[in-house]
Amino acid sequence: MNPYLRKNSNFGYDEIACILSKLPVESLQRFKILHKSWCSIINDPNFIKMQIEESSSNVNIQKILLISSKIIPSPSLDEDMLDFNIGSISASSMSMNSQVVPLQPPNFHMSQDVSYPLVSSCNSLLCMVYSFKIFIWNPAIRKYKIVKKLNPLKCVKCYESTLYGFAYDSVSDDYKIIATFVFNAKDSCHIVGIYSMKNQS
Amino acid sequence: MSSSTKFLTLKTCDDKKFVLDEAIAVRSQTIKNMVEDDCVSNVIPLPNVNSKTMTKVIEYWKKHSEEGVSKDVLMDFDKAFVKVHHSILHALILAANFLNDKEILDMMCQEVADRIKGKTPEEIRKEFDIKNDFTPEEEEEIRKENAWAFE
Repeated sequence: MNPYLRKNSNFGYDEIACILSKLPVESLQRFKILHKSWCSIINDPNFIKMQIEESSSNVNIQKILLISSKIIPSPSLDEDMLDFNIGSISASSMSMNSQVVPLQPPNFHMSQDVSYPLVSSCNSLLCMVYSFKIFIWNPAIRKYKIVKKLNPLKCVKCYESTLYGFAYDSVSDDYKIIATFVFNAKDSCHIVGIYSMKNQS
Repeated sequence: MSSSTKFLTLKTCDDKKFVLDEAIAVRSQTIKNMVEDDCVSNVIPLPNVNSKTMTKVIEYWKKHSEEGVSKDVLMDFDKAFVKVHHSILHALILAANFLNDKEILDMMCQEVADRIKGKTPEEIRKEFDIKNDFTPEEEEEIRKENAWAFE
């Protein structure tokens, strides 16, 4: 056989990674069982970065997050409760009739904290704070991580308000959360903390 | 021969020769590097590319080097260009990777991705001629972990 009539299976890392980087996350999760080499490419951090770059430049596989919330009076409790809905929609086919796929945040029950649970999003990751926990949630692969549990007593009694920010630091290749706990806004008395995902601290 | 030669001769693995304007041939980063490093003698051998595939590549290069071609015409050309049997598509991907032409590589990989996006793993194994190397237990574990993706 002519050695140059190469078979399809002769694709190397470059070619397979290039094809896979153009696929949506759902397909990638499914294609992990094709072959060990495909699975290791899909799990490779360098490939994941390549896929993020690729998908952020391709509107056809992007999704838009839709969030709605309403405050409903609670019959049994003194405080009102927050009803919160989150869903995603394909960015390329957005119209009145587009299908909204509802998303279920991890361990999310209607909670008493009447604050907006979404902090911010970055590279398809959502940083959310509810039930006195900080979550990083990836709705595309339906996985989440509890970053930190907050002390409920401190939250309710000591702080006037809390502010969070979530971003990717390209210099240290790390995701960071910045939390500001305000004791007394008037005297600008507050504590600022930075949490690094890489160092888990 | 010096790098000022206007025409380059490319020789594919099946011994066919292609004479091409250097300005067009340097769309391949691989050929460009050879020209810049002055290591181009009479004939540039392309041991990884056959003549059938090279004909397609040159067709693309020529169209995209033509002057005064509108964007719409190029878009229609590209659309027709990727509508080929998957064996040709795969050969073009290997050739584009060897020639280091990111434009063709990206376009062809996008086409393969679009074709396999909605397929099952079994269908893709057949098309790519891939043997499953997972044990049933390992496969079951990955399936379980990502059960939603198989729904």
